[in-house]
Amino acid sequence: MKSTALAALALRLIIGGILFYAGFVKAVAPAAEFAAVIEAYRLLPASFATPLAKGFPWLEMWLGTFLIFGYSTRVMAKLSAMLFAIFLVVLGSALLRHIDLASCGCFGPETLSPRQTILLDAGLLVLSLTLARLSRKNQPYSIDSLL
Amino acid sequence: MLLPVVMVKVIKQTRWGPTLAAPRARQLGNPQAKVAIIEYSDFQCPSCAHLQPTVHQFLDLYKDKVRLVYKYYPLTKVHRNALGSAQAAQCASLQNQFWPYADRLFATQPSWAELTDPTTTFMAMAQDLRLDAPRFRACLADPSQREPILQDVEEGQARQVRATPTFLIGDERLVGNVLATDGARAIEKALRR
Repeated sequence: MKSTALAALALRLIIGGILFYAGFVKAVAPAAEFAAVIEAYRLLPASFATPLAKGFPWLEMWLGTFLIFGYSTRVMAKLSAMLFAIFLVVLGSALLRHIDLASCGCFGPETLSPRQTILLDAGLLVLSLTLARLSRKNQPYSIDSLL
Repeated sequence: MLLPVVMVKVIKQTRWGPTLAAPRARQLGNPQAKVAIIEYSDFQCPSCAHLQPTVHQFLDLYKDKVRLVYKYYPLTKVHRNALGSAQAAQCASLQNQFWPYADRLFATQPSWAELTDPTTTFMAMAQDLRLDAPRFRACLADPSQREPILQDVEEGQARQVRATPTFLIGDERLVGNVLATDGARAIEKALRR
């Protein structure tokens, strides 16, 4: 149905666009800042922070790119959903452990608060799951439909 | 799929330009030391306060090989007294008491951070350190004393500093607690160059 196709396209562009943008902004910025954020959550050994800070933005960008162009859409949508679920767990864990993220390296005012980020990630999780469902069958306006 | 790679390579800034010299009063350690730890910091930033002992440990560990250079980077949009505290430290530096005053600011941070007007607290610290009080008070009220602070901020912005504390050691950038885990490695790397 055309409405399903358009809905899938819209979701791909929204989720893919956000992921690409998030990854891109981190990739062009000094990796040290993202490393500080990772370290602040105190979930991984400190030695993981810098390598993860360098590699993770590229994961987001690739995922976003594949979604935007509609390549392996169902798989990418599920991966995105997994990613947002992990973000929610990580953030929730920080809040439960009363880690004051704002004070762990004082960032400027442009950063979203933890609660704002949780809301955003929860919304994106729902959208990703919806997209995965819509993509059971190859939708038009995608590379998948051409293969 | 190479497009993101190209975009990042084109946009990502990798040359940060020269660092402006900081006055001697805001440097700690051997002025001839090969490696400089440049710290962009905010006196109202809890992480900055928390990491001061770590920074001093590195200075003790590496003795004459490393020096610390302090750069003002008050996050004025999130810390109400960031600029005021920076100016107070600047006024102390004019009387060659920058480091004792900076230590006092960090140590007593919770006591002045949320005050509407911390002037009395800043004056009390100056008196504890036996600074010339009338001269310090006049300096606090002098807007021209914000110039060195704003110069440091401008430099930091050009270097994409967005969080405090940010440490530049050689060609490496460390932010926040990562200094504690990666600081020694960065210093050793800079010493080998």
